[in-house]
Amino acid sequence: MSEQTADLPIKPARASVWSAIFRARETSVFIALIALVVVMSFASPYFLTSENIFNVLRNMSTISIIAIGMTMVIITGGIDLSVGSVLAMSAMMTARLMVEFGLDPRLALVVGLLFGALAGLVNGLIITKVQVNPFITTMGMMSIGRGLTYLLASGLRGTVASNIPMRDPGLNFLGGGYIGPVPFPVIEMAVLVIVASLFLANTVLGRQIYAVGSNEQAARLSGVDVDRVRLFCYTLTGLLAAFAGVMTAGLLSNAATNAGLGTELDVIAAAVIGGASLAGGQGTVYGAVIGAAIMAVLRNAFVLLGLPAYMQTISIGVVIILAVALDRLRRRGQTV
Amino acid sequence: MKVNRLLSVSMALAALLAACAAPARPAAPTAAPAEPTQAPAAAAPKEMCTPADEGTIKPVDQKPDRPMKIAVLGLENNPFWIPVKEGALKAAEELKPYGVAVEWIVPGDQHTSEVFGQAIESAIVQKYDAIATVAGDAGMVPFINRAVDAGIPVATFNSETAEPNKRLFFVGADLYLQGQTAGKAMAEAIGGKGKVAIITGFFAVEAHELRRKGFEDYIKQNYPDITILSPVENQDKADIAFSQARDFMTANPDLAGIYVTAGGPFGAAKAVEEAGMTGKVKVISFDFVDETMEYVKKGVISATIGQDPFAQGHDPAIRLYNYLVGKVQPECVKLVTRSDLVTKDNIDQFWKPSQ
Repeated sequence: MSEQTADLPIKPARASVWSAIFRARETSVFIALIALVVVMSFASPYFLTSENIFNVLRNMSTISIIAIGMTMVIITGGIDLSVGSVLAMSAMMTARLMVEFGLDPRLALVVGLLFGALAGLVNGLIITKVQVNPFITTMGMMSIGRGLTYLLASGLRGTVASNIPMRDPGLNFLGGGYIGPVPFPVIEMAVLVIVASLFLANTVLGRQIYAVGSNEQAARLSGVDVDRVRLFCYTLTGLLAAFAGVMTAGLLSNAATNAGLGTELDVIAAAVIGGASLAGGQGTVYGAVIGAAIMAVLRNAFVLLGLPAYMQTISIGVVIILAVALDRLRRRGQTV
Repeated sequence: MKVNRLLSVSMALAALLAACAAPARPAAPTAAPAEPTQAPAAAAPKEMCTPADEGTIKPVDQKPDRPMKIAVLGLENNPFWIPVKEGALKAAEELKPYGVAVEWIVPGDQHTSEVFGQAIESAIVQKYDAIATVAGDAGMVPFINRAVDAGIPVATFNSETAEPNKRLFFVGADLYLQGQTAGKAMAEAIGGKGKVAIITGFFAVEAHELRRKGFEDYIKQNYPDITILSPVENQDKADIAFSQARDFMTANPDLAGIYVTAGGPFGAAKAVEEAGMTGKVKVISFDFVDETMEYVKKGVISATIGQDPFAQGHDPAIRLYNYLVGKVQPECVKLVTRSDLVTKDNIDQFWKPSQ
């Protein structure tokens, strides 16, 4: 039953596979991405070089990885504003443990990731058990996480919060390594996205996530442990944000105090452009990845073409609104 | 994106605050509005100077008749502030024998007037004898003026408002001049021709804009053969600077230099190093934080420009004390700190690896 509550109501008999594909927001967003890529490849001779494509893919990798969790949270009808802060604080924890206590980098990585997952779990517990609105809860955690980042960053040299070096070949590879010409973060992104997509579509828990977001009451009545599903989504998001944090720090060999500032909005934008509905019940991981790709291509395009940077900020805003607005209009046309 | 928006909103709010605060005053001096345009030239001894005793100024040897306390309001949100704090602590040590307590206070993690305005208000309530503060945006004007009207002299350091306020003096960099110094360093590093990219912190932060304009003006006036590419903002973040630097190098295989006006220059340096362009693409940046200095040492960052942060933390407290006790005015109202240019060759004078 969760299968049907998932997306659209019961499909009309004439609906073919093609119309289903056409109806999916992901399709139109994907077409928009292709159009953008085609335009760019004519506009700049450097755009379609493998080096540049890999740059774009790497630039979107952290956003995409966090967007996996964010999409699930949004499908359940929630939101997580704390991902940018969790990203920074987890990376800072890992770096601090290595520098201060000489902890083995692998162990420090695990502690950092668990720290992020813990923040997500706390979000989830407050949202499910205390029933505080997700927006409020995670906004609070956003502030707490940033504060903890400064706290963890200070005390090494005086009490001033400083970026902390993260020098370890393994961790640096995680964020800045290459396998052949392919940046390692791109591979990490690809693996995580595929696994998460399969998980959402094919496992019981995956389908339950949609069920919770479509109709919480119905899901509850049909025996879905709604709280457990929510806890899972927030904890996973925390974990993925932490992973993205260590990747970012690894790339630059530094855990920065201002890492991830504003990242939550990029991640939410990616999910929403890719078809996730803030009302819950709708969204896919690959949609979010397409959303992240559109933003990454736009950012790349503005530098390649030397266009004024103010226009970039405007264009991303336009894309966000346009993606959702077009989807609205199209759906309205269909139901009439 | 978001930070940017927050900043512009807060600046708009700050401007509003300043605008709201203004109508409260005009009742008193009717001549006031006309004054600022003419007065400084005639009245003040000198508008702007770099004193010889920057960073080393000593307190006047005269004990006040009562114990005093001076508040120094600074930040600790990034390593730039380490030497500033050291300066303030040194001043505290030097003034202690005179029965003066210098207190280093960190009111928050942003240099906006929402944070620092409140800190000034509490300093007035706590009856500090003098206040030195960072003045990050125009919203600081009413707060500074309120303290001065309450009889507490105020000095600003590191950053100050474009709009005039009643502060006694300012200690810090002239950001436009710093931008020009960077322009000169860049032109010399790339041999006076080629393409240069600019990665700036925030378009909404005046300090970053002054550094950008100073750079652009200097290059345009003196080096017609240098092309400046359309600037981008990295929100002070190293990871964004990294991808932008890569994109610039992709789009411009003949890129000669990258100028980073604010935070995260080591991201751009990392991109240059990774692309194997060290020595071909010259990076110019600001300040002496460890991450930056390591790339200066490696020669990836050709030059980084300082602003004597120690003096910014140290001098305001001492000069305020000298004013209060010895009636000594600083030799000018805008004490511009030195813009030391650090390269691979002279780095040892300015920095030692911390680990």
